[in-house]
Amino acid sequence: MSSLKETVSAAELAGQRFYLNVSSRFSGLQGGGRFGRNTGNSLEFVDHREYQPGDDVRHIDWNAMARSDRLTVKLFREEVSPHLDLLVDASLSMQLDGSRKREALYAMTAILRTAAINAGYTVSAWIVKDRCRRVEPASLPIHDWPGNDCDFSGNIGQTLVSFPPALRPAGVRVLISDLFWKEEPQAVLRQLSNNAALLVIVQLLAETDILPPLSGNVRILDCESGEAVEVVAEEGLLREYQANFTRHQEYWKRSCTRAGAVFTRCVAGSFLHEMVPEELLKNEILMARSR
Amino acid sequence: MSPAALWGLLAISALAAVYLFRRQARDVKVSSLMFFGRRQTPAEGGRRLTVPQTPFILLVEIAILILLVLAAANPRAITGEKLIPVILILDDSLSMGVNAPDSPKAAALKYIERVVFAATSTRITMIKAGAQPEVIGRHDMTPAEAATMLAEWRCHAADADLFKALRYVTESFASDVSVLVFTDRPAEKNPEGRMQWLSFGRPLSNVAITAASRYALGAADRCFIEFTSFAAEPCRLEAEILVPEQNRLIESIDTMLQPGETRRVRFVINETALAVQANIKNDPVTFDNVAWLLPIRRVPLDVAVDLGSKLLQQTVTRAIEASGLAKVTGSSSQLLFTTRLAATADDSLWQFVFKVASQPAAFSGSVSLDKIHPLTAGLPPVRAAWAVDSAVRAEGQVLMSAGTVPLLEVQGRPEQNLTAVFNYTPEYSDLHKSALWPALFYNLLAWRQQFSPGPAAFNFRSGSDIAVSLPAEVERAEILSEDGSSVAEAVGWRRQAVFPGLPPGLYQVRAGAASWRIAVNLCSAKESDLRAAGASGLPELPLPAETMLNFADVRWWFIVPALLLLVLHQFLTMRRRSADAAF
Repeated sequence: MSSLKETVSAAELAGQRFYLNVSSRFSGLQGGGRFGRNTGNSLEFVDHREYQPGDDVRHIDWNAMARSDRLTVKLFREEVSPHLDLLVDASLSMQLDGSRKREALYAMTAILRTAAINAGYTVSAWIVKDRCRRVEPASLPIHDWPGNDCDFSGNIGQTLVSFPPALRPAGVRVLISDLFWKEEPQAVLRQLSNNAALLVIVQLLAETDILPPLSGNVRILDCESGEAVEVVAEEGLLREYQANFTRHQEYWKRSCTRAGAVFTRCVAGSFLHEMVPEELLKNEILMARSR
Repeated sequence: MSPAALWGLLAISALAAVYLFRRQARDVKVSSLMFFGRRQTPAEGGRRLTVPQTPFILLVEIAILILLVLAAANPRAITGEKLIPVILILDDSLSMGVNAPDSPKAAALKYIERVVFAATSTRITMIKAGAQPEVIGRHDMTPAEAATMLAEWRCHAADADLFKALRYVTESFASDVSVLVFTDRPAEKNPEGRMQWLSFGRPLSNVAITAASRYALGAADRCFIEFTSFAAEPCRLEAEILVPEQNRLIESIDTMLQPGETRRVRFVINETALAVQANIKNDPVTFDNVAWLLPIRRVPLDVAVDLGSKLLQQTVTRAIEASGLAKVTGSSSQLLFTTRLAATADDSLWQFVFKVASQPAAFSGSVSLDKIHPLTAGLPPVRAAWAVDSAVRAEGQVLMSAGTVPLLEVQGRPEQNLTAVFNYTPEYSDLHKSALWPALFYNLLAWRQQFSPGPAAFNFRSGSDIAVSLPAEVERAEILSEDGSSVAEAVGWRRQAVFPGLPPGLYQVRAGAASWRIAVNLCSAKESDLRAAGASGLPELPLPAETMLNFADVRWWFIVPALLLLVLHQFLTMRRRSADAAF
């Protein structure tokens, strides 16, 4: 527990460097009670600039054009009311022996929560087990979240499809999971992206999920189902595993693209070492704060 | 159990151990098994433990090893050929019959009947070892059958080549047969493997007639008899040589012989139509004490000489008369000397045709000669002037030639109308004055005489084949003993019947209406020398006690399934490799 607490503290500290992007490209984020970082359609004037094709013609400053013969538009400050729903996979596979997946899971949660707060988001957190249970309040220290143990041995996908959480419309939704469950991605993504401004899937993996440490005669145990199988770990078996894993991941990526969601991947070990969610930054889900 | 089987057992243990150790799996927890191939989740839920089955390949490998171990253990099984194969090699030489009724043969017969034939679980093959091995009866006889066939073992051969018989057994029978050799001589070296050398002889002092011959010399015959002592000590020889038909003694011998010493007697007998007998009177070993020398002179050939040239007529007639083998008559059905080939219905008439050239070519160079043909064998080198018809071309077998010109050739087969063509013009030659001339005609007449009805000789050495020329229209010949009983019968081929060697004695050869007397003499120093004879210890159980060893070798029962399993193993491993390669 102390390890988790320290990790989460470090993550919250790291999260101060980021803010969750609030952009008008997320169509559902317009007309809120807070100003966004970008220009928008609020009443507060920010600046002038030359007209560019696609600008709202209502914002053309006709007076300025009369003075300067140049087509100039007024820039108004963006007004948003952003909300982040964080969905945390608390299945047994997120607490794999010998890995730091659980620490990474809550570190990622902490960074996203902090970055969201930095951007003026309201945050809801959901721990997904057999049901999606909301953490009340979400501002509780993460290590004190009730039910934050990863001890569910069932199918998270089925939970999300069968018992979907009451997510706020037009909000940003982030699912952090290893996605190691047998449920059609489309069904899950359809459910989560419904009325969402943005859906982000963060696949959190242990190093051993990418390349299991198999050699010789091994008894492979499924940490969730308890199923065991004895195999001789040959090159062929590892090739088979990697091929299946890659196929699974690619399938999720394609499904996310189709559903308008953003798919990112994160490896627990390297993430905890730097505390920098690189792929979220690359996809401009998170933005670095200027000092 | 063979060492190979022991190693095989160890290999099985090692294989099982390797598999057991390899099955000690370590546990590895993974987030999900979903990427390890397709695995169905039980419908009823709950934990599922996939217990790996013992690999089928392991079972196949162990089965292969077990089969190979069993094969390596040299398994034997009772099959249809469960009877013990026994081969009896029986010394067929005369020495086995020495001192009857206490002869080595009698002792061997007693032993065979008491010990060998008493074992009913045998299949017996008997081989008579004479000059050539000969199977008595058939292979694999029951003891009862073999007992009835044992009478064929007569011990009449002048020589017993036991090693030839053993070689025959080695080449013709399986290696696991039991071989029992019955002889009167001790083994030269210790027998190996499953052979037992059973010797029933005993050393004896013997004086024998070891040589007897008779040949014509002019009007009389010359004879030669040799006596040899095979005694360990000096011994007395009392022998006589006589003409039984006249009851006339030719020579009486009474002398002392040192061990190994010989006494040779040569004499001339003018009565060429009478038989001569030599016998030793004081030797208890009787089988080599008598020798007969029958008349050797054949009935002279009837020869006709019809040559136009006076010179040729004279020289040929003189050569014929000088040979002593023929007499010149006006007409002949046996041999005709002529200058022109005559058509004849008589299929036994030979013709000697002189090719006389009207314009001969003379030469005195070297002549090629076939030295192994009966007509030219032993001829001296040609040192003469020879006038020939150079237009003559070869049509048969050339025996003498000068360059491409044939001088002497034969056409046809001797048992039918043989024609010899002699390319010779006497008026311009001097060959008829050389030594070659009478020798050539002697050869011709002797060769022709061989194809006259009758035996090839009248005095044979025991063991040698007896060839008899058959008269026309006669298909078979028979040999009768002195008491008139039939000894052997042979069917002729190319007008000749051949009998295998007979035991010493006097016989009559009958072919159709014709008959001749022949004598067979032992004259074998090796057979008469009984000093080295001996007896070996006679085991009560000469056959192998471990009768299992005689049962059929059934290694193939295990090797064949092992090979099939090996193929299956290869198939399984190749299928597995191809499955791995599919990823």
